[in-house]
Amino acid sequence: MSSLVRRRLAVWLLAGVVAFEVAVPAVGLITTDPPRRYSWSMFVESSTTYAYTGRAADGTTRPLDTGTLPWPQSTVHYGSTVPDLLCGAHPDLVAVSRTWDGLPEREQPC
Amino acid sequence: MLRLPQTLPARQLAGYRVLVGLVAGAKALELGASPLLGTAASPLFGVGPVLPAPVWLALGAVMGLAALAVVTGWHARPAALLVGLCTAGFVWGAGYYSNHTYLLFTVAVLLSFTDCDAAWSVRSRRGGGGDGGTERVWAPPVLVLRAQITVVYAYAAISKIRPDFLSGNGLASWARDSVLVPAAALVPAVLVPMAFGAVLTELFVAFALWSSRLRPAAVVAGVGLHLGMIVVLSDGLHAVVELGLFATLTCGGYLLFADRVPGAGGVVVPRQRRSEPALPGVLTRR
Repeated sequence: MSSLVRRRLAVWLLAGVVAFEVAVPAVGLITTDPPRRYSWSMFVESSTTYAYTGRAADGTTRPLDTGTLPWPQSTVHYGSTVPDLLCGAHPDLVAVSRTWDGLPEREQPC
Repeated sequence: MLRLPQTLPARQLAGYRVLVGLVAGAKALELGASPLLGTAASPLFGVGPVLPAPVWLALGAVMGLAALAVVTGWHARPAALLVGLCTAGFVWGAGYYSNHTYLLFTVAVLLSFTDCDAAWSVRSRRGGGGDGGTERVWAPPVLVLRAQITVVYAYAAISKIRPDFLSGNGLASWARDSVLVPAAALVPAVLVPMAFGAVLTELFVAFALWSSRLRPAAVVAGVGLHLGMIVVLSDGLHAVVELGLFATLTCGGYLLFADRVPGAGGVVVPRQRRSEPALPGVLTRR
């Protein structure tokens, strides 16, 4: 095999490697959910479960649903964005608290 | 239109080889010692027996020696392949998957395709000519490594285009454990622009590295991105080291995008290896 043919063959093989580099993460991206492997999906999702609880003036508490809040503010689960919206949506509440993976964050007064 | 070079500088490739070797040495230490430090290895390839810790320690020792050979350039190509195989053993054999370990496997194997010991190596010193060794190397295998760097950044950006990341939730959940980020910074006015900025920066770095005009900005943006990751996402020394190793593998890859040696000019006639066929054009203007 001549050197030129060998070199051309090597170039085609290397082009195949590049196609493989591109295809593997694409397949992972399309067919799997985070956290993905082999797809260079790094720090993509928070992997955190958020829950909100409201406290009324008489001391009773109840879980709160963020589904009725305006989007995209309802998806911001840090800071005071969602607690402020929940306080506005439920005038009987005196405070809203949030848990991250079951761990309580501070309670925010309404 | 993107013009791909026939040859590329050997020293930049050698520089990346040294960086990959250093990362491999650190990972050999970490992965080999992991079973002894409390991170038990999974059953062999997920289905076989659980191998005792000394087996993984021995594999780490082999990988460490191969990493040393990569750094010094002693039989660097087979040594890089051996690093890749050892890393594969840890990733798939022991179940120690992480994105940067997978990246180490990928670049080590791709490095073994290149003429990575053409400069700054035992071979180049034995060959005479100072430490310069061969000035230029055949480009296509290096272009594959370049493509790998682009693929990493591009997919990192694409996979972040989702509400959970762009809303800042991801950054908030990691940053609240960082000792370097004040709690007052964990507000949408800060984290939402940061999230969008991270995606745009990754896309910019992925493609701007290929443009000689945009490359300096891409290098600054990329290094800044990785420094930002270390500050925002690290919850301890281990995370700093891991993110630092990842940054070394990716930012080190920026060297591969240099088409010419800074400060050098004139005409260079690349020295051919006996094992390599002649280049189509041996006269290259730098």
